Amino acid sequence: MTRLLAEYPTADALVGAVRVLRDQGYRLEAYTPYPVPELDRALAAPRSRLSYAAFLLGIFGAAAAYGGQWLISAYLYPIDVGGRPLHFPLAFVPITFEMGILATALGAFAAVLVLARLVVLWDPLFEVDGFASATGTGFWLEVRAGEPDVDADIRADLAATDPVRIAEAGGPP
Amino acid sequence: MTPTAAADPILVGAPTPGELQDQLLATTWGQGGRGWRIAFAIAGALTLLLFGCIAYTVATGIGVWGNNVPVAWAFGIINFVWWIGIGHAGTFISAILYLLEQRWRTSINRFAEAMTLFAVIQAGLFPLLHLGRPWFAYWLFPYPSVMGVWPQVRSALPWDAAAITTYFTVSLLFWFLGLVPDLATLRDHAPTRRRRILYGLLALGWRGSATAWRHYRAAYLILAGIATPLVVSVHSIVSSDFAIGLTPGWHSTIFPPFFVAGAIYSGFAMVLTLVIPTRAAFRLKNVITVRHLELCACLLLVTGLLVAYGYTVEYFIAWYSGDEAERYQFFHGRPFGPGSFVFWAMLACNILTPQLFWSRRLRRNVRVLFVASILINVGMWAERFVIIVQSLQREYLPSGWRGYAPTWVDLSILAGTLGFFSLLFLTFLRLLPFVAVAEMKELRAELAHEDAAHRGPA
Amino acid sequence: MSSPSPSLAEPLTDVLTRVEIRRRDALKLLGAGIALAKAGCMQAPGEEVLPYAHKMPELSPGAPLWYATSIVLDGYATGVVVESHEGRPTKIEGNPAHPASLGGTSAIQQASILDLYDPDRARVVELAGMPSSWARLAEQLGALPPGPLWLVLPPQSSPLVAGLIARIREGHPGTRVVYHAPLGRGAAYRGAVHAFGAPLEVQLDLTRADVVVALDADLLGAMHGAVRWARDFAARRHLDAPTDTPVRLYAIEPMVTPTGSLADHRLAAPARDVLPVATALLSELGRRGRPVPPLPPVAASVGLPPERLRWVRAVADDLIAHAGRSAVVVGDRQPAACHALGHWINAAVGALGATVRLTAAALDEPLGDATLADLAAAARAGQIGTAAVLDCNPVYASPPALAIEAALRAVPLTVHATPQVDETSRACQWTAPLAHYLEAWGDARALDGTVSFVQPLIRPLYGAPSTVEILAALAGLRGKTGRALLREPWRPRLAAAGPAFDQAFERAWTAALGDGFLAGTAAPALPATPTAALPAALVAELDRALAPPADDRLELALAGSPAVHDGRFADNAWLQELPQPMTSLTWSNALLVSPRLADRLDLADGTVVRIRSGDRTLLAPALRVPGHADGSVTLELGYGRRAPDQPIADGVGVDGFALLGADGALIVPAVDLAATGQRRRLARTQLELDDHGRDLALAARLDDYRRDPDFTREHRGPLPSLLPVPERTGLQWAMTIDTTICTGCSACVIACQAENNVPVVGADGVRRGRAMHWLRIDRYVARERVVHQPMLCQHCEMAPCEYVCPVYATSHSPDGLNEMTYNRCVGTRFCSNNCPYKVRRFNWFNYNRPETTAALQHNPDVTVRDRGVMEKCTYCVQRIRGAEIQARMERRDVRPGEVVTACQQACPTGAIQFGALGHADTPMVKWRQQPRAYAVLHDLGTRPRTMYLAAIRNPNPALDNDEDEP
Repeated sequence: MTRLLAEYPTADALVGAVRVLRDQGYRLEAYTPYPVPELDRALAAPRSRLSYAAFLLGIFGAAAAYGGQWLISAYLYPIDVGGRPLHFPLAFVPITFEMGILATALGAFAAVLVLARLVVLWDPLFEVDGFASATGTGFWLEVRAGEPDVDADIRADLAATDPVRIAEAGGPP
Repeated sequence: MTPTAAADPILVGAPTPGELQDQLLATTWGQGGRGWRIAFAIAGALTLLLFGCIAYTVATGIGVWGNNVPVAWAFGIINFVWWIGIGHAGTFISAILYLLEQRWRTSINRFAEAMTLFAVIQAGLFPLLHLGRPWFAYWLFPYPSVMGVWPQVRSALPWDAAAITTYFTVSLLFWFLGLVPDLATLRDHAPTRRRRILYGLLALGWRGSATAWRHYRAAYLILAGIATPLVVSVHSIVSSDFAIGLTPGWHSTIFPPFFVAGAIYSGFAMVLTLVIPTRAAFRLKNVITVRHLELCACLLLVTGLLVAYGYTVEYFIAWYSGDEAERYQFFHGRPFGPGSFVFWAMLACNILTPQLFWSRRLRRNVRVLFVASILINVGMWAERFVIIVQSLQREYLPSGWRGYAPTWVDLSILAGTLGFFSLLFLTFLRLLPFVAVAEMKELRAELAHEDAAHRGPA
Repeated sequence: MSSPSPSLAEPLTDVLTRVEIRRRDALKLLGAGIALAKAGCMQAPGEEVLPYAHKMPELSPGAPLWYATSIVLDGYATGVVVESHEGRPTKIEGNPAHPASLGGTSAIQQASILDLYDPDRARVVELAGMPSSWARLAEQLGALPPGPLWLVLPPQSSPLVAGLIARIREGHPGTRVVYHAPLGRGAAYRGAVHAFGAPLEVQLDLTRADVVVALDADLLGAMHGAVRWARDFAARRHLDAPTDTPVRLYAIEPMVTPTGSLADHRLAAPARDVLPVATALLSELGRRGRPVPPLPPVAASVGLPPERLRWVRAVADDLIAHAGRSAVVVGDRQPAACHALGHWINAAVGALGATVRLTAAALDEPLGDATLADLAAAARAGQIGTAAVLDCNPVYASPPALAIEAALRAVPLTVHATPQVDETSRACQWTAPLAHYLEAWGDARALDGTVSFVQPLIRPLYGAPSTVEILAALAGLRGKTGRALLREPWRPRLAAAGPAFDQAFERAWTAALGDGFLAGTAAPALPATPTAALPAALVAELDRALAPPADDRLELALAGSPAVHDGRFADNAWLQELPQPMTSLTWSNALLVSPRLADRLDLADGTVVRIRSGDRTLLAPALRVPGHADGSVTLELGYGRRAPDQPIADGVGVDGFALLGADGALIVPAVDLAATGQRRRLARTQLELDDHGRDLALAARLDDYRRDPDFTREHRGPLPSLLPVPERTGLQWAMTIDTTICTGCSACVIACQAENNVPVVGADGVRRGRAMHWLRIDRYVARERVVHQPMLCQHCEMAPCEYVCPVYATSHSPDGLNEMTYNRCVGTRFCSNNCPYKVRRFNWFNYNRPETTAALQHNPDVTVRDRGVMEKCTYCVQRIRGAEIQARMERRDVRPGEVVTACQQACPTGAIQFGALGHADTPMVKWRQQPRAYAVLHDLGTRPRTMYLAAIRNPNPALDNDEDEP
């Protein structure tokens, strides 16, 4: 499949174009140098589920930390230190907390890499000349096209949203 | 007190996105000036001194430091706590101020986070170095050992190990995540192929799609959310290295909040110390404006007062406890005992200095701010000296009382960490945009909208 | 390096003639040690020694053997038992059966083991600096040049030596003997001559004393009978209940000694003022109707200041009130007149025959034959053919006026036999190494006359001869071993002639060596009473001594060092680093001054002072000592050695002998002090003597104790805690220390060091606060009242050091020990910070020096700690485990009192008691149930296992005032 791209000068122009084209039922994606909240609404994107992953990992990290501390100080090696209790919840709190935080952070980071499809070395978009402005000052819109014959219409519809330019890119690798 | 954004902008002028981007990226393209090179040379020399002294210490024995019994902890732990404290401002700015939607954080958060990382790196050296047998430092971490013994987690030191590791990791992730879009920008605008490859790899193939931004913001929010309790917990745990001990002057429940306040205090002082010369050197006064400096000064005043409160409570409790060792510690040992001048220096720097910032004029006077920030850094180091060394000098049994004097190795290592810190920081200034470009563009856009909104009805 | 065959002594010398040996060789030596054990101590052809244990175990590796022998210092023998590991002596302990020890030892005796392995020992016979051999020297000694022979050697009480000297005198008519002892007791004997017409020996029986008066006499510390006397004194001083009445102790002295620190009434006075006080005391007794001789008019003219007079009168009343149960003891450095008056005082209060017995002197020729001065004169006059200086160092330890070095150089043939090359060696032609007492055969008498044997535990490391063998060579007895020489004279004495003589002798000989002494050979008490009138000589001496001084210039009181004695132990690192009682000064001596005098002269600690006495001057750092007399300053002898061959001793401290008058009197009447600009950083272990009003070392007056026996209630008993109290079952080890009888003599400190391989850190290490002693003695001085508090790991049941260790390096054993696992330690030092008693020690560097021979002393049962790890007192866990293993092998429980820690074993007064809490009938448990028991820093809730008994003082109501209350 191919991807049709259009660049707009401002975020507002992009958002406008998105609204128009969505009504025409296109599958859209946008590329912006900074997050544009209106876009999500215009694209009717669902809320990110990333937080669940992070939360679950966090709970797991904390539980594992507490369990581990109990295991090594009360079960595996019950050594008498200063007559303190072997299972000493108060003393186990700090590490439990820190490990919970650590797991959450790692979870969130890993999740964003996966969900945002990062850690790729190359993408057809990089071949599109001028697309570099997507990380600079330009605002880009992508229309996922199916068969070539509809292409013409798509181009027309795109042109109707008077972009700065229109370009074409191969499908994702 | 609070001037309107218009009267006192956090972004001077209305640069186009292009201008803004070029200005902010220029620091990475441009040649470092002569001043930068000189600073780099000095920092490099001190770094060599640091690693020289580390080698000497490890080869000869910790005895080359001035430590003794009773003062078994001294410069090593002082530097550790001091650097960790400095490391608190970055996360505070980028996490807490982010949650509080303080826009002005945008221009300095990247900067402050980097400072945090580099400070934590310095701090991380000391828990290893101060050991009698540094080569066994890994015994503080749980691993299936053939000796079949694990860390003793009732001690505060494994808590430390956990806290510092977590803090460094989370700060690094937070900082790097924030960098990704800018790295992509660098990749796409790099003048040379080598840089394009370098930044291209670091950018992880960021394309800035709306989907990516959506998850990105969620992740950033979560990191900010957990970094906030983290930043509080880390210094609380560091403080428990002392609070769980029974040494007079250590055994105190005020320590966690007291340490956190002190940490943020010293952190913001260090931010100012670094940002003031940098913004001048790289001509960023329109991005990092006097307003930013003034707001930091306000935070210094607040945290400074918190620290002062901490001192007061310590003294009150010492008197109220009726414990003669505690009383002696606070009313004789510290103010008049060996090294008492450090105690007075601490009071002068930490309590008096921030009082300047009641005056708006002084808050906005860059020179005053710079000097004050340095004084506060000194004062906070002195505070750790007082807490650690002076407490240990005067404990329960007078028969064990003894003074402390650092050796040239102690001093060299302190100077060395300053050098190493500067080295990392100077490298960062040249390699990465130290003002978050994407966020500044976003901020600029928001400001533009507001201006439009202002002008609209008129 | 050459690899010597370990079993022969000859190649051994090859190895050891190098100061440093490599680890491999050290191991070989260890092997050699085993061989030597067989050779020297076990059944070896012709050489047989039997161990102390009546039931001797086989030499099984790891199981130490114990041998009885004797340490002789200034002629007086003390019986000791030496622990030997595979033929390697490692530890000295007191011989419980020996009358001079009763199990206790002094710090010096404990440290003497290190001298055996001292890398700086003399190793080869030298003639004019060129290596020679013992054979050649023996030859030379067999054929002396014309001219009389002079012997210089320490005071002797050895029957064997006496016999040899007699033979030498036969062979060499005109032979003169100089018994050289800078800290000798000539004055005491001359005093006895004044009183009894004969040089009798004073034997104290303190077990019967209710009142003891020490006239400048450190009878619990430095004096030759001290180890025994301290045990007897403690028996009368320790209280089991408030109703007990402990012995009351008066002391008059310039510098605070262990004795003075225990005194109920201590009069700080210059040493020269002791004689007037004694005179006044005697006349006060007369005034109270006691039988005293008529005193010369000068005695009446003695005008004492009022508070001294008050003291004297109170003492006189108390002595009379306890007539027959009181004793007056006069210090060795006091003039003969003072000793004489002491005898009359004792006679007047009925002490003679009761608490004080008089016997024949243990020494041969107690009044001496010739003096160093005679030697110097004769040498200059060219009237000496040969001078043999054996086992002493007159060039250093003598009045500079005598110029002994020059004198010796004027002698045709000079021989110096010495354990270490020293100042005297440089003045002599021949230098011969001398065997350590653990390498030699011999005999000697204890103070009370008991014959004690010296037997070797190891063949001489460097093949050095002993004093006896050298004397034998002079006596013309060639080629006889020390053992043969010793057995010969004892044959007739040990067994009755008869058919089974040989077997009888061997049995007696074996038994004697097994015990280490001959029971029942103590000198019999003589029915002595002092003459009715003072002899003219004494009166003359009193006239001279009591004449009021021309001016009130400062007195300089010289004293033997509690560590290095007269300098002969100055190369012993343990003794150099031993914190001196009262001053906690190490690695130097200092001019000890009272705070008031220091303020007057504006002296801070370490200010260098120029001391001038006549034309002699000396620079010495000053040190304030609370309680020191104002009119006097004290300087300890034995430092300031000039011996390049003794790197540890060389140049440490200042040489007090430089100020010694020609008469050698230790009390230098008039000196001038002048502060110089310079300052010296003294190395002290305790800098703060004030307890700042904290109840740390508790003390009470007897009547207060009786009124409120429970006065330590605040410092013991259960405390509320959020944490559960740990339940520990089985034997629970604990310690109780009675500060009432601790003299602070510090024998325990060295004993601990020897037992536990505790390293020395040097003067700089001490200055930086890195001394390693596991056991230190804290002293708190309130109103010139001293309390000694031995401070070691308290083995807290709720140990604060343990829960802060991140790696389980310190944890608690089921039997209540606070244990260090050195291998686990990473050296965070958190435990030290969190120890409120500050008894943890850290290896800042690698203090362990395996390459020197000193490492051969290490106790194989104790880990040698590596760099970077924490260490501390273990309650001698190796001894506990040893006893447990023994008990298990014998299928029984550990017996009460079976485990004795090193410090407890060495303590002369028995102030330290150790054991299991379950053993209810041991002193350790009984003591801690006394109402005066307390725990230091009890309110911290650490629940220490070590408890202390408060110091109870028994002041005389007549002298008592509130200032005395501690």
